[in-house]
Amino acid sequence: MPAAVRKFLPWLFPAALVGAAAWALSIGTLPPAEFTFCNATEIKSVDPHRINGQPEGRIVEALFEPLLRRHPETLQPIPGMAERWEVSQDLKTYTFHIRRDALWSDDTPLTAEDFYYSFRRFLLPATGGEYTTLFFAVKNSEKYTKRLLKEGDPVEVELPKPARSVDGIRGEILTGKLLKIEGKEPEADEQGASSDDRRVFVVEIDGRSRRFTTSSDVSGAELCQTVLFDFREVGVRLVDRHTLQLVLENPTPYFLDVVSFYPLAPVQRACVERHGYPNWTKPENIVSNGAYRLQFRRIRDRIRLVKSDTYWNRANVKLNTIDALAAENITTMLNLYLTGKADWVTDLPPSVKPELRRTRPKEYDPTPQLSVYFYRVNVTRKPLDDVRVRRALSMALNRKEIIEAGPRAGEVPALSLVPEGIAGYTPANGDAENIAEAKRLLAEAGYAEGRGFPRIEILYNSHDVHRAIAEVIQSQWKRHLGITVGLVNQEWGVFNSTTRKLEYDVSRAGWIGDYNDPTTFLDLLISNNENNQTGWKDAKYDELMTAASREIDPAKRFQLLHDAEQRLVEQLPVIPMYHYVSKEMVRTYVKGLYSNIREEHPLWAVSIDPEEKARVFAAEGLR
Amino acid sequence: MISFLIKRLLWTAATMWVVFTATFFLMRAVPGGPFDGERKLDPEIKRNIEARYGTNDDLDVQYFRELGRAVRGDLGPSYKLADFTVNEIIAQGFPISASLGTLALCFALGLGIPTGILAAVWRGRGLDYGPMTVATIGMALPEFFVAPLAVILFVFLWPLFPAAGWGSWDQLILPSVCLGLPFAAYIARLTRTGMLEVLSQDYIRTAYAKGLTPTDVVLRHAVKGALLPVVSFLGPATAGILTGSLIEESIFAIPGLGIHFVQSAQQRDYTLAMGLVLLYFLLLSVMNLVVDLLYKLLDPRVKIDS
Repeated sequence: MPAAVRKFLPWLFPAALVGAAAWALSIGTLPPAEFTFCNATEIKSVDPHRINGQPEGRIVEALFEPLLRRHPETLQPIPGMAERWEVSQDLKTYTFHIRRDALWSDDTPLTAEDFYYSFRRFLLPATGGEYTTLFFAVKNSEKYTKRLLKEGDPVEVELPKPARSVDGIRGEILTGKLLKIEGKEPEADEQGASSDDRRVFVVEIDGRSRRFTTSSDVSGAELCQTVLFDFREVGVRLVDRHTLQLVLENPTPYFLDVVSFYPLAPVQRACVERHGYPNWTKPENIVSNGAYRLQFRRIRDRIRLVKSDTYWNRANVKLNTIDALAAENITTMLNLYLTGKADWVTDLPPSVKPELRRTRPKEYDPTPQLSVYFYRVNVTRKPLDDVRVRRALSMALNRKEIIEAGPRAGEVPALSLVPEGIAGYTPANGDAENIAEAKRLLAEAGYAEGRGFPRIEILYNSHDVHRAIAEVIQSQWKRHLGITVGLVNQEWGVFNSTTRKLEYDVSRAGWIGDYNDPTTFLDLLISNNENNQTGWKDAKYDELMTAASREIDPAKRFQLLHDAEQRLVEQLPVIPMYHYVSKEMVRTYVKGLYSNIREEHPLWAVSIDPEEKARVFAAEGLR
Repeated sequence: MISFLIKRLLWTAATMWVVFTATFFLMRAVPGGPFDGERKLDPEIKRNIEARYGTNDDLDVQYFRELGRAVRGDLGPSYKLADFTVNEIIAQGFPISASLGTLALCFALGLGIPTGILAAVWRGRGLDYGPMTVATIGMALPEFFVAPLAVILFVFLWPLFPAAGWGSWDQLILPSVCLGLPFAAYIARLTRTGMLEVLSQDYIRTAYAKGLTPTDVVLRHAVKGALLPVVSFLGPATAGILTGSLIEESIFAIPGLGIHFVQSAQQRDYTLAMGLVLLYFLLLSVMNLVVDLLYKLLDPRVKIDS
């Protein structure tokens, strides 16, 4: 018997070869989409309420449409699911009128109730929304999401869910008045893990006092899913079938920007509750309301979008199919672009940027962005607690040299945290390079010529560009101030955790503005902001920021914000380095994709000029 | 034979449990967690997210819950690709990585074994030194050098193949060859060494003495024995190559498992990383078993029951 098997062995290899080739080919090739772009990563989710990244945003914006859209060129809010809106005199009540012809992709009408349901789902703690902070301008929404409860508050009690229900169904909800909270709020430890919440909530429901708990270990109380601030007291009001009102805590001049942002898109209740998360996001189940539908997802390969035939503005949607490639390697992205397989790439290898600027100026034209590259300074450590030292460090920098060594794409040197480009706002003016003054300040702080200055370290997450920048800064500080600086690189997850725990001296950071207002940057440095991470707490800064949040007059508000930023660049808990420029490259035959300050390009506006495409392909010898 | 298989099965199960336990605790001992992005979440919001995934339970509770799930073959939801379960990710990625790996291995064997045999038979002559020098260089060149070089040569300078992608025949060739080259080089050297050893054995002299032609001696008698080192190398190599290559998959944009291996660890995607580690060890155990069985077939002197 083994002899027969042995004879058979040599044939195993050709059989494996043919089998594997057939297997690989069985995946098959697809006809190319009309428009293909590199989305640079596999996205986390298509659920608009659970995401916060730019690649996710590109897909979700095509699938789901909020009350408002953004103009593809100016990014100003324009009508979306709401055909018009009104703002009250005190700038605190926004009334949205939803268009009558709004439909879901399953052909059912989309109404104000869908938005009411969706905002509630977005804010619900169990959803785990990452962008809910943006919605906190709406009255009481923060109390709802963060479960901030005090005695006397109106509350909703969610009873346990039916057994084996999908993720998305809620238990029965009772409403009443919170009489008393027994027990202590659980403390979160360093890892964020928290011990069991063993509190008992005494709630008056229909004139009767009842005791609720979320812990099954507590006796003498009814078990419930959660106790939250009553959603009926949150500033989301259903006026009628087609009218929705949002009531704000404070006048928020950029609120329409927030309303047009993808986390505020609606999801269909029937679909979510039938399939539950994550099954409702599968192409065969998902119901959406945007210009495109999800045809299929191949993990780490592509997402195929097809034009929706129920979208209200379908007559103006030009492309029938779009592919979003998940390829992460930026060189591969460039290769796909150069061989005509991708029409738009969202990132490029830094080393080829200077050449591409020269050879393809119409396709790659970097423009300033609403974002900033900066260093955090740990002000809780000596000698960085001394503002003179921080100013000396900043003044000793040659930012042009930093840009030439690092990103190399014509980035804009930054002396302020907020970039140019927000209409009506003048960014603060920080100290420019001044080596003599830097030396003098350092001497005044007691470290003349760097003598006695302890060794400090620059922390960055492992990446070529960050290393190149850190090396230049290291040599500039050595050369101009005579201080010794070490470099430490850490892998992304560790880096974030180290920065958060303030276990660094100087740490690299980047921030991309979420909406068109200085607060998207300036909020970072408020004392209790989670992203402050410098240990800097400044009463004067906080005061100016609070005053600005209450100010109705836009000019006065910007002045307050400017003053706050001026305070920031004088105190320098963060040292701004440069403002990013756009990284994308796009073929000349792609129309409707305008350069703007956030590299945001609504796909409903994009089209292809076939004649131009034929000409470009012929000129470059592409097929 | 049966008792041998049962014993191996039990050993595999025990090894998998040790691997599971070590991976589980090592991953959680590394600083950072799956929800630490650059944008720090509000603690309350973070707690909400962790409650969804059950990461705020005590570690022992998490351990037994995940172990129980893994035993039932359910690897849980991915933390970072939240719309998918780990089972779905492996089901989509593994066939692609495995077909790429099989093509690369076939190429490596098809090139490596004949080269090694020829080099041994023509020992000390041009046909020995030439290919063996190439093989040494081939082993020394890293994939991240060979693959981009191949792209420059065969995509841009001489446009024969597409730059990236997976699914049509012309997309299979460059990545398979690039992935297979270092293996081919190694196999050629192993074959040559094994062949030289066998050719000096008594039974080969006997075969010649019987009057067999050199071709018959080499192909019918020597090769089988000479392949033993190759076979033992192939066990772990197959497990490695089938679970994907980070570099080839990244450069040629192939949606296999290789990229997940690195990213799940970097992004603290606990469930995905665990699923991939378990898959790798399962394959490794199976491949080593296959190797042991093949040994018996190729070399009658080997007894597996002992």
